[in-house]
Amino acid sequence: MKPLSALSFVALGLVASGCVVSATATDGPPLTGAAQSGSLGLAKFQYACDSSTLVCAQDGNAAAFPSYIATGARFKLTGRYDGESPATALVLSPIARELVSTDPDGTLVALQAGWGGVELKKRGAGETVDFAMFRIATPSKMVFFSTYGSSTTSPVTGAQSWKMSELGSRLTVSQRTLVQAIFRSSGGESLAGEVPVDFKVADPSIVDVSSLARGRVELTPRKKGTTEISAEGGGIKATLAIEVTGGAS
Amino acid sequence: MKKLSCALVAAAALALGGCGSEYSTHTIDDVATPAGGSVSQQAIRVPYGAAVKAHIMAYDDDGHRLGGDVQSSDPTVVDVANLVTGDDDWVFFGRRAGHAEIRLYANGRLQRTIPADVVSD
Repeated sequence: MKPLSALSFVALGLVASGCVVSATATDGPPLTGAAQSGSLGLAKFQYACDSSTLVCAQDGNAAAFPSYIATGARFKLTGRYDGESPATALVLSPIARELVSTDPDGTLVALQAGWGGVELKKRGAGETVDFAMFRIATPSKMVFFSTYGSSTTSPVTGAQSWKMSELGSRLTVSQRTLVQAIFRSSGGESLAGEVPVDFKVADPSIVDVSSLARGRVELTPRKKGTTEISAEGGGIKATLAIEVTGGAS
Repeated sequence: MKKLSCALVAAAALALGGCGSEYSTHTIDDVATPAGGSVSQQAIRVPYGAAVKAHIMAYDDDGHRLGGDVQSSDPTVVDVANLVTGDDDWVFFGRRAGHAEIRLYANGRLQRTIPADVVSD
């Protein structure tokens, strides 16, 4: 087994069924990420792209705002309130600190399953502006999502990563594949937030694995044969048998 | 003497109810949020880790608005904060599972206490 460097992990709200996920019908990711209205409709919240984001907009925010977060996951939100001029300084903080904590750099950490509410309030005055609600759920399954490059001379690029589907079990020699692990709850919901994941491949002479940004790995089939890719993180281990076809044995 | 009599009559009239300064009631309208929960005259229920909004107004016996305030007996269980949208808009936060009392004030006086529970689902 060839251990790979520590990578990250996974999840997104719109990917519940796990087929093809794409941002738009055009050739690339959207310019701006999804802005979700707060529960009171007063503020807008955005979810910063992380290793769980399948479709990342060009402004660095997720193209779809997640509804579920994995326990143990780290994630970042921003809140915007346009109700006052000049703009008011705002503070984001968890509603229940035993469910969600905050790191000094503002990163939120989902600690326990339940409601992961986050309130947005005016700095100093204490007046609440709005709040956003997530469900925090324990990962029970990991699936692999992928996007396909065309050949070894045309490596998978970030621009191609906006369209992903569940990884199949067959690759063709010279077909580079970008892979991302996605956690799901027992109810099938995709879980957002960064959870470290370690990828390994049983036989690197058949499929080589290299790490990319945002917790993704790239599979490069080397020769015909069968091997297994495995990923472990968030208390979950997933494996997938891969058959490489075509090319020399 | 005549001026004094007039002043006494006017003061008595105000004191006997003409000025409408006596507390009568609070009205409460809650607002549905994704996590559920409820706010009513009888009870407040907030899901743990979530929040519930309510519009709360105090009236005197002439139907005039009174200045109101809302406080929690234990903000570590149920916290309450004013919303930017107005003095009558309040948010109840479920900080941790447990029980507390929500106190409704009118013109600075405690008028009503409502039991409040933060519940895990």
